[in-house]
Amino acid sequence: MSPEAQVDVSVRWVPSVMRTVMQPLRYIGAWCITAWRGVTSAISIGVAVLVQACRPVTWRRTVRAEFVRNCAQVGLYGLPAIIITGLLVGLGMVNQVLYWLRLAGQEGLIGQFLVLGLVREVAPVVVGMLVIGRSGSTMMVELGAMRTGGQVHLLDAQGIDPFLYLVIPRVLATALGVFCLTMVFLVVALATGLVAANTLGLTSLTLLDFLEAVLTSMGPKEYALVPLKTLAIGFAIGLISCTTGLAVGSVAPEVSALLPRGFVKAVLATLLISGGLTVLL
Amino acid sequence: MQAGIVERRSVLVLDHATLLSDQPGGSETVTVNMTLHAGELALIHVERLQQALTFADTCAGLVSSAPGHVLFLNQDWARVPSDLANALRGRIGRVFAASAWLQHLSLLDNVVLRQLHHTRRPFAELRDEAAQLATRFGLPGFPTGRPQDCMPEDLQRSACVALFLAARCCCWRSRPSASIPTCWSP
Repeated sequence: MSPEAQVDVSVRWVPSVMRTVMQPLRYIGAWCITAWRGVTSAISIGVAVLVQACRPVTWRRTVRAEFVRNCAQVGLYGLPAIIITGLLVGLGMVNQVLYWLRLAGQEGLIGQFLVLGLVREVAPVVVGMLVIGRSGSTMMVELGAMRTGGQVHLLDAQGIDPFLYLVIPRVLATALGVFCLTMVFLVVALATGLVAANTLGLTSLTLLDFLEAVLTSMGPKEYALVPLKTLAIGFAIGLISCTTGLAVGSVAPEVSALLPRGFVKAVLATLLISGGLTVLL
Repeated sequence: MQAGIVERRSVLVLDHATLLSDQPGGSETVTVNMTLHAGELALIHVERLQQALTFADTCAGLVSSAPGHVLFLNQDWARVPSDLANALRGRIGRVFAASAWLQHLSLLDNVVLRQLHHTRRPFAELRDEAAQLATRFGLPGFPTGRPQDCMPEDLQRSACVALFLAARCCCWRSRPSASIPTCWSP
């Protein structure tokens, strides 16, 4: 082969190699850019919710009514599932902790174990998962149906800002709902665990001793962390559910296509917030 | 007695407003000049429903009319702040060809929602006014229950009640006869 032909072949060969190498990098880059845009968009909407919620003019009677309705939807109607889950966790986890610590002769560590495990970590995440499945998905479907059914456009035409009327009440109601449901969950789980352990003779702790052990193990960090975590998780779940539901039409034609994505995003956000705040505090 | 010429206030002014509508062959741009004064009625014929929606949205400031202008009550939609724009839209009554109702609210709550949001009028007063309007539109009273439980004719009449419930400016979609119950046809 002549030197000119050799050079010609090598020049044609280099771009195709680069294309092969660049293609996966291009996909990774596009995915990273999309994910970054999604995160920054969610943060900006979250800041907008907080800023608008601080304006008195936002809280007209229609918005207040919508907030109360969503508080009932998230908090009240989710109560049975939370109580049952609390019972199961109490029987499974609290009971076992009491048993094994007594067996190891370390009943004095009961408070620390339960605070570190149940109060700080398990309760917010479990309640968050339940709220995602029960209320988050309902919100996505409801808002998606409103978007495709023209009801969001109807609100715009009536001069009712859909962000103020649909998003803000739902996000704040979910935040408050997750906080309240976590408190109920903790009371039910701890009480059930103690009652079951006493009934089975696994512990000799009285209710007052048990409460003292748990409460004295909670320091200022725990009193700050639990409300912060639950409110942040609820806020994120509400925000992701609303933005996913309202994205129907622009991102995907039907809400069924967005439900799995929204569900996964909400779960990831819950775990990230829980882990992140634990590390920080 | 001298007859005085009363200058009527202009309610809606379209000044070289540009309307963009999608057609099967491509999008089409139409420039509209129109002035509607207080007390006037305008019947506007359009070829397709989508054009009617675009026109109504442009009049309500939901769609940009650049480079032209649309003025409602002497306010340019392109220049008013969003809070004022929403308050102005609260004074426009609209009936959609396929009325969209908020399913989680009762029919009465749907009808008075605009007034509840933009005014401080008591709910009881709005309910009574809606009931009176309902009887004028041929209903024995205001339907109770949710929109999905009501008959289509009752929903049409309720849409008319919502339209006239303290609306200062009405805007109908094209084929307004399609929104009127058949028993009212001449």
